[in-house]
Amino acid sequence: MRRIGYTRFFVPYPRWIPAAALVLLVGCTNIPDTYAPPVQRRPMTGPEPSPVTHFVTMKDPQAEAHIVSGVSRHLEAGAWRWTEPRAELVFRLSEVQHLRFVMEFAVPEMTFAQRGPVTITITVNGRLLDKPGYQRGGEFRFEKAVPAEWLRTDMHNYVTLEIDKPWVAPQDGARLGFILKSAGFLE
Amino acid sequence: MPQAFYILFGALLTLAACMSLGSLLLRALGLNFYRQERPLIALAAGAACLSQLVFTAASLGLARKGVFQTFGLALVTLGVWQGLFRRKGDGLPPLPRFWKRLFPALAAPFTILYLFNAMAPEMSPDGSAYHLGLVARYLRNHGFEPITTNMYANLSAGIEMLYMVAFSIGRHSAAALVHFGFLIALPLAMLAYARRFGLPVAGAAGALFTYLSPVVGQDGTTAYIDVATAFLLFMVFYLVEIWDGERHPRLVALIGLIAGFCYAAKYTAFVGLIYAGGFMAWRLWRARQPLLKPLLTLFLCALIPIIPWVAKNWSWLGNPFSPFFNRWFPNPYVHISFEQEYLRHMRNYIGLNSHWEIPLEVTVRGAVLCGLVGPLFLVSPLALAALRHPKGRRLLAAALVFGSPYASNIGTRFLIPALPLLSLALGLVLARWRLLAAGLVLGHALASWPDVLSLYCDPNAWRLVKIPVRQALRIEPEESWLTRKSPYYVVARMIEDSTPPGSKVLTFNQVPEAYTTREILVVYQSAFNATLGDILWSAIIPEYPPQRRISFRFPPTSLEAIRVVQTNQGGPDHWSVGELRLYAEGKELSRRPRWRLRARPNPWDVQLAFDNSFATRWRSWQTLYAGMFVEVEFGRSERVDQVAVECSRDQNGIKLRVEGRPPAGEWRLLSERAEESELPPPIGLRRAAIEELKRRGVNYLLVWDGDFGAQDFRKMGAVWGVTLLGERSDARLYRLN
Repeated sequence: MRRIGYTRFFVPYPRWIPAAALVLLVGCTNIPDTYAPPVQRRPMTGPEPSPVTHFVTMKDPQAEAHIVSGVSRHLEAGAWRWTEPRAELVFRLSEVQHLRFVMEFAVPEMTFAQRGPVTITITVNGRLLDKPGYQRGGEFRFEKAVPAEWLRTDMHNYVTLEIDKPWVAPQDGARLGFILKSAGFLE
Repeated sequence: MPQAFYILFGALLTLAACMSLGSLLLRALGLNFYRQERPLIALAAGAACLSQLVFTAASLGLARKGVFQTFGLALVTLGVWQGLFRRKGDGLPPLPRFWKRLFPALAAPFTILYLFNAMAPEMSPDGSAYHLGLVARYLRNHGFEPITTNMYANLSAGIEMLYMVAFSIGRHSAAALVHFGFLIALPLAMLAYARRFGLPVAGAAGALFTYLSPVVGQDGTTAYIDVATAFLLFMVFYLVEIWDGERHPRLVALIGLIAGFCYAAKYTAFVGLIYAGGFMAWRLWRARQPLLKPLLTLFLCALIPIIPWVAKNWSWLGNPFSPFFNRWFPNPYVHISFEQEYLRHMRNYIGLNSHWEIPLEVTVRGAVLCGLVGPLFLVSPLALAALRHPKGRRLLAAALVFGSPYASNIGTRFLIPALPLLSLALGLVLARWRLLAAGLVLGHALASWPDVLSLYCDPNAWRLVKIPVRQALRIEPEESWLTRKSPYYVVARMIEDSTPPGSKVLTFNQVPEAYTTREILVVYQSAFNATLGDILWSAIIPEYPPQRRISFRFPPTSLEAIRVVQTNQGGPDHWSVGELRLYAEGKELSRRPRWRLRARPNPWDVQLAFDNSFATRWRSWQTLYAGMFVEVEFGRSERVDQVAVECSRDQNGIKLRVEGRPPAGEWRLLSERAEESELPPPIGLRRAAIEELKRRGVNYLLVWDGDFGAQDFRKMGAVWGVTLLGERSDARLYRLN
């Protein structure tokens, strides 16, 4: 019941109310601010997700899950590991199209005096990918496209890295390959 | 030349309809003016009324050529029948003979230059991109539609409503010609003002200073709106001066209407209302007259043209002043970070090394700040001498108020609203030395003529370069001229020719949308588009994909809700979450339909942190502040012992903690000990990004060679899953496979 006109001299009419209501209405829209989970773009990782993925850095806590053989269990300087003359890694892929094998590694300068230029033979699932040669020491990045038919999504993919001239460490006589920082398949 | 006829007909009908409506309003208000000023005031008032009517028509879905043509012709017929176009009443005091000859002698060649340029095919960047792009879209749609993907659609568009009438008949050039109408009206209004107040020499010189200024000519001959806005603001000043002498109460209503229409024309022109209100309040207060009634009349009348634009944004976008003030009116359509970036960019144009370069840039060079006012204005500090004259003080005060938005956008054209007032003040000072005044006017005319201008300005300065007679009269077809002269036009036509109707094209720079019917989504023009850009760039910017995993472990706890809270403060980082995963006993909890997800800020994108896609991420879209969170409400009690945030590496500043809410309890801290690890770079990102774009209705991508990632699209098309459809002017159009 509107009695404001009648009572205005007795009851103070709060004139600010319409203005305040107007201000409060600003921002009143029908846009929700809570949502249900959306359609999942990929299956959830499942109860026990595999630690083996398509790419690994040696400092990754899951790195050892990618090592089949020939890579040191000791992480050096928090970033890299020595390989043996022949190393084997394993990877899982969710797709196989347009992938490159990428490896970041180093051949220490000091080892060149003993063994000279080296060649690394890289195979993917038993097929020769490349045999790059290195005439000097230093840090390198190898990358090369891998034919999709060499790869598989239903099984593990194995990569071997074999250096032609091992380096024998003078301290303990260990036969070593090169320094591995990361390896795996990228787009 | 039927096309030229329709162009002229569309523009003249629009302008005549404005004048007819305005004259009817002046008659209804019982206001009398001098014979020379009456049509100008009628134009300003009528433009406000016609714009309002077109807005109403567009709101009702009646924006059609037939409606506008019939209504326009009816208005003009009514005006002729009522004798509204007859020259009657007293005339203003005449100009001195010398200036009476000099004024038309200098104005005539520039008027020809301007007329033919306005009639020539429209290809101005903003005019063909959004001023007319939106007009064309409204006409196709027969009215407004909620547009949430183009922030330019949120700006007030009072002048564009007039363009819509002209465009419906004569297309693009008719709209530009309407703007030309305001360009003609501006110096006439300045002259009328000066003659009324006994400053004829100042008026003639000042009007020529403004009218011949290169940026005014360039802007006023395109489908921009700055000169029309400057005219409206000047009319506010002019009418306020008349009111000061006459104190006619109905004049206040007219001033309110035009001042309100200034806001409707361009947000930054709200200063017109501030000036009118401030000036009237000051004068009334000094005369010890009542303030309330006149000011209430002023503001209520101003609200008439303002409210429709405020209401449109309010109801469709949740922000009455969109695309600004998003911090006050948070909404899903414009990001706060965009607004900050945009304003910063407008204050610091690319290529400007220091703000000390502005005077030379806006007067002589004209490239970086897009246009030049002419070297004459290097002497504009002389205008300060006008402070000795009462009218000079008002002119300068108004110039200061009308020019104040320049601080928010340092483009040369943002000086145009202040230019008429500054020019008159300068004219007032120079009027004492008539030969000097005439010499400066002649020099300004010479320096502003295109052939001379080219001798000293930057080759890339935004300016008129010739009189395109053949093109204006369409002796050379529009298509041919635009194809030769506009690299952007051919891109718009490529889109039109290569994509089916209804297509959405994502791109990184604006396209002349007035020449295509397809929906163009420019990444910076809305929140939706920006998210699309973020998705696309996540595939090529190494810091964007989720390669950082931040885990929090805590004793198993039954919770109703859990949230990750960001507690750091400051820029420039945004917080983003690629995926938020919850675990119990080493198993990830499946995301149930009963879960409710919430985030602050930007709650509208929270699902992107729960979609299990490495191509998408929830982003705060504003710099860090303590209290940002992403939250899950389970809908019932769930046991949780670990939370993992998978996120990008472009946010070093974030500091996170996890809070939980037990059943019927309060929020409490669960863990702030983050364990961080690295995730491998995801593969299939490019294709995943394209899939996300397609899910959002985008099927085409336009990439310019200079755009970030252009090379990647060219070389890795197969990996992206896109097919090149065509290339024009360094732009490539891809279809998403």
